[in-house]
Amino acid sequence: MSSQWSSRSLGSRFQHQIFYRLISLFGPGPAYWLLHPVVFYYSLRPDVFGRSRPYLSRRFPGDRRLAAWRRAFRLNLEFGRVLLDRAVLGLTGTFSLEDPHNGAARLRQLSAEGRGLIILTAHAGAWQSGFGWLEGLGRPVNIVQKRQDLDVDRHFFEHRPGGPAPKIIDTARPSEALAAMSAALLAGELVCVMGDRAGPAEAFTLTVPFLGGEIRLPAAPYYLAARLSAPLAVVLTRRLGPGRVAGELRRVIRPRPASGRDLESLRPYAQDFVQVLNEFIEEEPYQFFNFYDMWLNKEKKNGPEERA
Amino acid sequence: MDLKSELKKYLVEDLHLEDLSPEEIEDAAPLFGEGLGLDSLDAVELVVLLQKRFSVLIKDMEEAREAFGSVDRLAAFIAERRAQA
Repeated sequence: MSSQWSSRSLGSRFQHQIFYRLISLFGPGPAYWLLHPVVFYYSLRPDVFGRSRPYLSRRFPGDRRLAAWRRAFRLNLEFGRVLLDRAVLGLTGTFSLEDPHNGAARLRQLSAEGRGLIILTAHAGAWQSGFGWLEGLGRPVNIVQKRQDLDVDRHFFEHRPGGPAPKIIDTARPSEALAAMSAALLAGELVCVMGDRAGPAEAFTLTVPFLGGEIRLPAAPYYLAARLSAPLAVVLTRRLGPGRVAGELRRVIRPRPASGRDLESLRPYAQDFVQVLNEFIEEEPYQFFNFYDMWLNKEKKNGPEERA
Repeated sequence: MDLKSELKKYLVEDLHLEDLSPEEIEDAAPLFGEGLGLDSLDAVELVVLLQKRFSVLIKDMEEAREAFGSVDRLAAFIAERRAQA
């Protein structure tokens, strides 16, 4: 079972190109159809099956082998659909982002406070396509992420010829990344952070309970919000169907302004975020995409952790 | 007080480097890791310091990489920005 998270895609660049070509030549339909046998094949591979077990075995404890495999297939298929949605958005612009609770208006209000805005999201729903939602908020968008050299998967804005692209803040160098995030917030920009994964280079983390175990979450979003008095909006996207996504502002968190580095005081805010995740996976169990063992072993449970 | 001395004074004060005096900070020593030993949370404080004390804002990661190399480079960055203003 793979316990290390990797941003590398399962498929090769050539395999991705087949899907991209299908979309370009025939529209999205054949690509969504082709996805089924491809996902079926990959789901038969023990290594691929094992990647979703840490999450699925906690979300659905007690499954027998066949039921477990069917859930893994369903989760993998949904993930494939999300990736295709993203490619369709980038290549054809065909996409419907719904806003059932008028979250965009609230995000604009938060952004207008002039202290920058941290968008805290997760690898759930159609998060990559949801980045497109942020572009409509009228402020420069910064996306914080860790990319690996051999990652062949592309974001929707990388499919799109020309046009403004969000700025990428790569977490490979944490000091520079945090400096860039701080600067963006001070300039009143949007900073979008994946709050559900602490990368290997993440020096400061918070340990919180989730699905019967404990996970490490990045402390940086809460620290920045507290230090710079920036509001923190928890935004998740839910895939409704082919090319249809709902963007949802689930929570606004305002950590108390702080001048020191008391990370322990930030833990309740991370727990708020986990509460949102719990609500989401209750509603959409097959739209939570963390294909690695994010849970800590007992001997690693001390937190907040500092690995400067 | 020259720019580098001013910068060192603020580094000690704003980043709470209680076991260091401004005079002990070497001009060419790296600010992060080896050298002054700052960490990623200090990077936030450094950005705030630049804005509050010198009205200078870091633009992106590349600028941070360049400016945060040492006191020498940080002072050069501030001087360059001031000249452009």
